Amino acid sequence: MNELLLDVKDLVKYFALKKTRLFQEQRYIYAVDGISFSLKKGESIGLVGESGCGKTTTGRTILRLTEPTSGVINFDGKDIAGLKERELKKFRRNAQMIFQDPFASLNPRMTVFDIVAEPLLVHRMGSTSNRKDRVAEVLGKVGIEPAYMKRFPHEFSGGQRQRIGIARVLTLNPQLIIADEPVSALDVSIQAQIINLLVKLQDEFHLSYLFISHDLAVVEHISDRVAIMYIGKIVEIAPSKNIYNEPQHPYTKALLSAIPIPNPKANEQRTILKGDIPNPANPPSGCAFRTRCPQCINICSKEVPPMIEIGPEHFAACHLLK
Amino acid sequence: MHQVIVKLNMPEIRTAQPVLSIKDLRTYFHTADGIARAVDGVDYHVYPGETLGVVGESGCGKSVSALSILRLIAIPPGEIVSGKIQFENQNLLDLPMSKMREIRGNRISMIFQEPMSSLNPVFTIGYQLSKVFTLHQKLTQKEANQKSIEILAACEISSPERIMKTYPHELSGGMRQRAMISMALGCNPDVLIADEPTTALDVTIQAQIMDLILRLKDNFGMAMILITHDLGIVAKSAQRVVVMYAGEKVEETGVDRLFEKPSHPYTIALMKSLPVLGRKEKYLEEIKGVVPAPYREIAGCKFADRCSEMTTACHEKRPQLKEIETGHLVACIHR
Repeated sequence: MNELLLDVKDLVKYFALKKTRLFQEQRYIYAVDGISFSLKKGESIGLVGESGCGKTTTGRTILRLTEPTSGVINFDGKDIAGLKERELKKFRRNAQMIFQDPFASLNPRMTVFDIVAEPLLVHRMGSTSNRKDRVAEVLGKVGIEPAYMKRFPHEFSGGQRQRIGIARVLTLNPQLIIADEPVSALDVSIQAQIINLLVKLQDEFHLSYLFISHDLAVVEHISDRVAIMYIGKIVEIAPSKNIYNEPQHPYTKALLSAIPIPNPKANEQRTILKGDIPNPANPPSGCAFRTRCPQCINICSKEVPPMIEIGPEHFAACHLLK
Repeated sequence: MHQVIVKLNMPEIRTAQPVLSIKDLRTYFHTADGIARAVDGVDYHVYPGETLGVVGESGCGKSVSALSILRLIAIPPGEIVSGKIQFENQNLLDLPMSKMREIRGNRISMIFQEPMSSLNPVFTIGYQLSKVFTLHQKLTQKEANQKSIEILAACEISSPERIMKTYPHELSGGMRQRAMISMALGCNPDVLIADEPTTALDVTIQAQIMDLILRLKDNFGMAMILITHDLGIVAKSAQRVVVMYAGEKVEETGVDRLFEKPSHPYTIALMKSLPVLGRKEKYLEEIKGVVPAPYREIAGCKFADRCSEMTTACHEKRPQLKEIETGHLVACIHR
């Protein structure tokens, strides 16, 4: 568990905005603005934040589904950011992605077999007959009857479709799985099934997860460590029990208290943040959270707070923590 | 009608008559696959000033029951087969559409889940909002604009005059939902139906909006039917809760009791399957299987196939609602 699998340093991704006037200055959306974290083999790390905070872009940039603007992505000792096409393909054999919407991420005109076998075709692995065996094997692993492999996605429920999406990811036996909101499109009772499946598969195949979600309760359940993002930056990263027990950053605290707890007797002390999430095309100066922070002080608008080590593996970026 | 006495946070509403009650409502959809029984014999009622939570997963009929109250079901393919919707000594299902329009948005109004798709993209917020007042209160456009600005301000929109001139796409999700709420509350309705009002929003915005809805509801003294899949939201907001599964009501009780002593196997399983912050277990308790398709004919209990307490008797007859404790109704033969 101590071997480093993924090491991301100062990852930056800006999206250029379209110019609307001649001679207009180029403007950018600062989707991911210098984030660093690492992931060990067999570990799972959760990336939490609200919409527009850059969590999905982070996941996509690590797989180079979008090109990073700058930064280093070390995977098993190799820098992914500089890889050429052929090398990149090799890397992707080891790093796969599960998508949010199981209705949009499976081609409706392909059978389950075609969908799950496609990674093998792309990477020219296996012969026709052992592809079939492999597909049957992974479908069994995710709890889909292999006899159903001739069926089409529309014949399955949302939860089953997500299982098929997970089977597709497993065919190549990857080390790293980036799961982008894998359960948010599912109903509560199905959500637990998929979360349990992911936990089981992690044990069985010694997988590492980068688990992206807006739902802190789900992330806390599945992850060893949690990183909280706000407008392109990680504001706090810590072992998941610390995030819950001793949150340090004011945003983490607000996020925790905003989650409705399914218990009418739960303590009523809530911090309700004022205002909206700022536009990532025009983030506030200094600390991006200062416009909504209940504890904002003078320095917050002037300087970007550095990451401070609070305890073992626990870091937060806030001026108040000095 | 069972006149339930439940432990409520607001004691003054205990003796009152329900402001709205639906009885044995059945709303079916005629589809290519057969008849989908979206709502299949559901009763619930809400007292003045009370918040009733209606909880369930997608397809359980919670939204369709709410749309049926306002008669917003498209006919065909939909059909309100039977039932009664009692509002002020009249059955809404008997009213002509012209009378219905006087009630909709005026006496009973609704907040929808996705403010982007329920606001008209080609008209300004001001135009759409002021319509509420020109239509229902017969105000002049000038008066209606004034009232719109007041209600936007009451919904804590910081510069209402400017917002009046904007189009829905120019606003953030939270702001759009505030505009929706303004529209729903404009005529000071007796009943507010909130259908997943915060599901499309981010957590911190969700907390803001839910807080706002509850405060306004108390200020205006409305009754609210809060439809949601989120047990956390229900715990914080409702006084009484109806749990629905596959078009039926399976449990009804006061909110404290529901969380202390959930009784229907579905409710129990649903609560256990939630990941809870600070309680770390390796595996969640899952509910096996899936919700039965709405056009499948099922003689017995619809939850039986997924239930841990299933016996052969469960498949024989549809379980009737039983009052196991004052105000606590459960539809399970094992209770």
